[in-house]
Amino acid sequence: MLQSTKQIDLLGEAIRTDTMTPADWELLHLMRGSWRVAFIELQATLRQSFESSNYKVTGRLKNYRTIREKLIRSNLRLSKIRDIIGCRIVIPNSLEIQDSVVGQILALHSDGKFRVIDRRVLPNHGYRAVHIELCQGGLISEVQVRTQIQDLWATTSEAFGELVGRGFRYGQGLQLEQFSVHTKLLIQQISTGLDESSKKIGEVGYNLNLPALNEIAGIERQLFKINSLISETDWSL
Amino acid sequence: MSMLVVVKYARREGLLLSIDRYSEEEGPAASSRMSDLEEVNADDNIEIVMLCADSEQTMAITHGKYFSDKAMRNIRAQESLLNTQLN
Repeated sequence: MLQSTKQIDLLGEAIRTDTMTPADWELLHLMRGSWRVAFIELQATLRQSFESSNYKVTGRLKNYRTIREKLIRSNLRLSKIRDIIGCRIVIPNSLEIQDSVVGQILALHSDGKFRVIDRRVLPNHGYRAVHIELCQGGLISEVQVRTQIQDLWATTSEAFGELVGRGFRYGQGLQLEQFSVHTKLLIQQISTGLDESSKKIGEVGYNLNLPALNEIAGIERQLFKINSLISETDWSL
Repeated sequence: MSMLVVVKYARREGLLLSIDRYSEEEGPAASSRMSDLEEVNADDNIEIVMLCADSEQTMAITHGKYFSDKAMRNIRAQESLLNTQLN
């Protein structure tokens, strides 16, 4: 990458304070070019590795608004944000497969630095998955490995966060001022349902026997119900 | 080969406002589109995202919120109208 760490962090300050000049936008555009090449390459490498298993891989670039939110929330410098380049792999509901996929990704990057963040053990406000931070060629990227049920929980929680404030996903509480008393009750029920289902996902172990499969099916039903409530309710925004 | 998409998405409404599709070789055009959209956007409710996968079907599995029936409603209506006009 051509830009120095100092240049990148100065751009980060402009993003954090939302005071972008035309030159800052130009620099962000240039950096996005490097990020784009890197995320296509990472996605293609992972896709080829898991082609025979038919696990689906998508890369995504963090955008201006989400970079800004992260800079404000975390106090990190732009050069230290690890998930500007990201890939997500969604796999079947098996912790054993999840471990194996993580192991294969680490083997692919044995020549670079990496860090595994196991959010199954330490969930982030209910969010469970395994994240792998990879550092290669001066670029940091993040691979999210989610089972289908972990992904369903995450996307449901994200949709809920859009209604009650994205800070909800990071433990900042619910923004309920604009809602009626009835809607507030509904929101509390959804919040409780998300908490319960996250705990249940955490209780599903490695042994996928019939009771465990039934438990997963029950969690899926609960999350589908929450999703329906989120998308079909008139939130009067 | 990979494909790229740049999506413009209304968060609270859960609606896709636009989707632009690019081949891997058209990557610079995808970056320019994302920059153009971001530079003029002052609305925190609008999310502009670049995704990359082997197909849109894969993106729908891993990033379903942008490709659900509800999210795609407007886009499908626009595409259907365009097809009707072309035929």
